[in-house]
Amino acid sequence: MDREGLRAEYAACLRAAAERRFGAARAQDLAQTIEDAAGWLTEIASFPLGTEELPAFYLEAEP
Amino acid sequence: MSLHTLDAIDAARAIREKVLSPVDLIEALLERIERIDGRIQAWALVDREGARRAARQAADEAARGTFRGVLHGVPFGAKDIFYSAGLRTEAGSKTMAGFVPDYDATSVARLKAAGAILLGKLHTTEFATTDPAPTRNPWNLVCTPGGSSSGSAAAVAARMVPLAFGTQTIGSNVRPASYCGLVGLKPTFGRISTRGVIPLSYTQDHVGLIARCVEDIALALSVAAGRDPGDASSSRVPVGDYVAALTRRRAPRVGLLREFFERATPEVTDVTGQAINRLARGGADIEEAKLPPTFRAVAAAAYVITRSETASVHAERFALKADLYRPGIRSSIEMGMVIPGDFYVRALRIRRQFRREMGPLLERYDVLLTPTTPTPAPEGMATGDASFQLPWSISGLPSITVPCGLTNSGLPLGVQLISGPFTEAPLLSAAAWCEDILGRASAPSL
Repeated sequence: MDREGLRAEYAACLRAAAERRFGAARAQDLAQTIEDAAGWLTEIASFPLGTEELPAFYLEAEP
Repeated sequence: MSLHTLDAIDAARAIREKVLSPVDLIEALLERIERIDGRIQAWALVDREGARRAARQAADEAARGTFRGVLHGVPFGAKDIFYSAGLRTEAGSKTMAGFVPDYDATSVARLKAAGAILLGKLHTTEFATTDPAPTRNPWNLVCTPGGSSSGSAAAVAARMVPLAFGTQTIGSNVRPASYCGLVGLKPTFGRISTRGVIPLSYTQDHVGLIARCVEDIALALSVAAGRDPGDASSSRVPVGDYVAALTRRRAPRVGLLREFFERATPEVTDVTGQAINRLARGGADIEEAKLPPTFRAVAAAAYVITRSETASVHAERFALKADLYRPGIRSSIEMGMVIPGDFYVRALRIRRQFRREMGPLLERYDVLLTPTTPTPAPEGMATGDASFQLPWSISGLPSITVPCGLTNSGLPLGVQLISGPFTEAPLLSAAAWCEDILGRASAPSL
């Protein structure tokens, strides 16, 4: 799927989740926020992340 | 010299030499606040009686030759998300109305233990996000001072206090400092304890410092930094001698991050470019540096991490008081509640990769340099563009802004310096060298 298709799919998923959780009216209020978040998810999903890259919860250099 | 214009280090020295009474200093600042804060609105709460009491005690101790520490008798302010025992702490939110903590944030406690006097609490955007504080920029009251540490920056710039704590999760300490013509430090993640600071994002919240000169930042950091058993994210890395580091100023090797200049307004690029020329003439070794490929994804990762963690921080309170939240923080929390967990974890992995890929660049240069902000302080209430701070917040790298000039309309601009993890000592040294070359910002006329 191309980036625009991916973004539209994420927006639809977020909208559906927002409707379930906060109701249709509030999900409508969040329309722009949902579009922004769909863009972030698209960027994150399409970034070529190293397969061995672990998550960093707390970031600390060696003492 | 008027007492309200004294920097922290000069005040500390004068008190130690017994040529300045902490009582006179506090009274001068209270008078200043009384006279101008109606226009600036930096303070959420001024603890007049508490500060006077502490000043009298500091004066008595000084008269006996007893000094608690390097900040004996020096006033400071704290953003209103720092717990302060017995003082209202409301985080700019109706959901926190009337909340009075029974202990001090570790950072506040450490400054007090070094003799500093908490003058009061400074306005913040709601829970340090985007819904603005009432505070105005002392350089132009039409403009924002930036945020979320709005009151911290405005109060220091307006000479109502020499030193203040702010915080930064995305861009909330360094950016307002720059908008107000100040020095602002966001240290390495974990360098200053966040215990007793109302969280926004557990793994991206940093306590920061705002002052009018690098020396004051070094002095305050030397007191505030260090391991706190009460904060799981606070670091065991030994605290450097930040004040001594300033005696070793030398022209730094500078990596110029061109991507940021291309995203700034022509005037910002021009003023910053002139500053870079002055640094080069002063002896700095400056060359262009290239960011790693992960840079492209850091903004998305930072926002997904922040939204997800903010939702977790606020889950219980939000369930009870959703209608009391203002629109920006409310939509952030709601969005964090619906972002899938696998994206949160992937964002954490991107963060780690970015930090790892930054390593060689940070090894090669003493500091990386960008304009601090893409524009000067904007007009209106919105707190401005945080994108130039975001990469250093997500990666936990230390960054500092020093003033570098004024726009044609008289608003301050800054240069931002970034260095490797826990290299605050050489970062401050480089910042002090730049400050020597570029000069300090003048005071705004009020």
